[in-house]
Amino acid sequence: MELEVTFFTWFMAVLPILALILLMIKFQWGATEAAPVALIITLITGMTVYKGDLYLIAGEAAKGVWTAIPILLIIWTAILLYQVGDQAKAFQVIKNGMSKLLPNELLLVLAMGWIFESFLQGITGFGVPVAVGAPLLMGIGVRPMYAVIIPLLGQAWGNTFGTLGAAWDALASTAGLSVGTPDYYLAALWAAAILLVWDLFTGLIICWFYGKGEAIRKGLPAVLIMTIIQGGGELVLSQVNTTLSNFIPAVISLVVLLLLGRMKMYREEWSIKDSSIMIRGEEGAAEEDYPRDMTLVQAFVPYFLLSVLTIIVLTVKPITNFLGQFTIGFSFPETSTAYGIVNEASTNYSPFAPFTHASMFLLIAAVIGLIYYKSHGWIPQGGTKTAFAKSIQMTMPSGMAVVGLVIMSKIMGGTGQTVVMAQGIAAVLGNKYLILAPFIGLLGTFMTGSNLSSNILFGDFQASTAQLLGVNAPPILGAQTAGGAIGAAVSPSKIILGTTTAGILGKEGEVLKTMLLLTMPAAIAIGLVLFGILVIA
Amino acid sequence: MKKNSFWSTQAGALTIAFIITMLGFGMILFGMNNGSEGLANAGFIAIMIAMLISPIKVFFIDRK
Repeated sequence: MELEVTFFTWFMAVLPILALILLMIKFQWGATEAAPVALIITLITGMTVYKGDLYLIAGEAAKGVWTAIPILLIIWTAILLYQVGDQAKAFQVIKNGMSKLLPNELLLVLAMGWIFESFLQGITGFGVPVAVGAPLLMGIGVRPMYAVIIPLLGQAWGNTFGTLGAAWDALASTAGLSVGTPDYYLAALWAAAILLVWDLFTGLIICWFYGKGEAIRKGLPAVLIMTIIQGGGELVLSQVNTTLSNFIPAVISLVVLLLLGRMKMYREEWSIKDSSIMIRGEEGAAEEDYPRDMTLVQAFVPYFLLSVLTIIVLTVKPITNFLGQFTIGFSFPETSTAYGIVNEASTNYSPFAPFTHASMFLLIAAVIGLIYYKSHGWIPQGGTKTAFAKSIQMTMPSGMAVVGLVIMSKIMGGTGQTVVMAQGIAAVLGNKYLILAPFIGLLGTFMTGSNLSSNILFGDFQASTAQLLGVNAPPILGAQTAGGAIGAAVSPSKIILGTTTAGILGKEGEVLKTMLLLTMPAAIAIGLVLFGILVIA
Repeated sequence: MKKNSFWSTQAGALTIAFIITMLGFGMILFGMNNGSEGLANAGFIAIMIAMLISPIKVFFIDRK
């Protein structure tokens, strides 16, 4: 029996995703409730239409749980980090201190929502920028909804070459791009060029949210300078060393940010009083109860620790190699559907290296931060127990949603639904498929929660389709990973990280709607440019 | 009293769901690596039950 790509099979493959989007956006269900429904649909289509038996489905579900666990650990430890700061009232100190350091409120929002997130994406990734960024933005007075939307936007451009190029490396290996070859660097150039443009849009969109035209006029010099450093730096370095092409510009941009605050244009106090993203006056009455003897530097101690730990462990090779050797993975037997879709056996599936994982750095930063704050008397009686209890309490709802979403994506992959979905689009559109090539990358991240997984899922497919269509593969692959990076802004798994730490769990549908309105036109526009250059020109 | 009230909350219900999910995960792993298809399938059913706890609690139990 061969799996045919027909409208029926294609629609059945798309149905779980349509259901998920419909429930979250139209019916405003939270991800924790919507994910199980989409999962059941996946289960039914997987067994009835795609002929996967329960044993195969069980295996993919277990792989999904195992894949979700590292994400859950990040959620828990990021929330713990937030709770530690909350118990010590550090966010109030950050708000007051950053307002003095960057008296221009727009620059402050850009700093905490874009620049710092880009830095965190460069060194950690895995949703940490969103989980950490949301409470920081709330700490400076940003409304919870925008405290989630802004870091989602701010971190997206850095997904491909961030985390020391992990997603890029995954694309290169699955799509057959050999390191150092002309095609390798050409694909990197395409990806970095697209992401440079998206990086610029990110800064402009954040300005627009803050205060529309007036804010764009005020923020434009800062946005241009930051884009040149971040996106431009990444473009240049992508031709030299893809591993550091995001990290180095992200570090430089942090330093330049502080210099920007000294520029004539930005060193005076400035804000838009009726900014729709800020909480003002009585509505956001500042908490007066905060430790007066805590300095801004002290308030940032856990974040400094996080950054230093990550940089040391992940960039010092001997340390990375030593700590990275301790891994946990499980074995899975081979399974196959009646249509011959095979899931190969594995003796060490998705090995997890706890000591080099972002959650370990978050945990250490949180614990040492807690000890540090306690030593200064800033943690109230029972505060330690409260921080840990609340962190677990807040993790569970989003954790179960993430588990559901990842299991869904694994079952879709394991039964052949994912490939049929992509093949159907390519078969119907012919070379007009190029318009949707970035969208495929975006879809992959939407489903799996990471640019890296999207590249693994669709990298080979995009390369094969390029060959079939007789077009050059590097631009398509660049579009795949850039689309995947942009997709990080709409991934429900990432959205839920933000809504959890921002305390607005259940509002994922509202966030998703805004993000789709921003990212979908961008993905289509990139595709149109790609089509124009590769086919028409 | 405080412990009982936690387990009846949404967070408490989801903690139970998570525990069941992990038990189901263990059953699938053990079943698949020891040739016990029944145990693996039972583990999957446990995971599905755990996944449904939240929507059932929100849309049926708490609505009453």
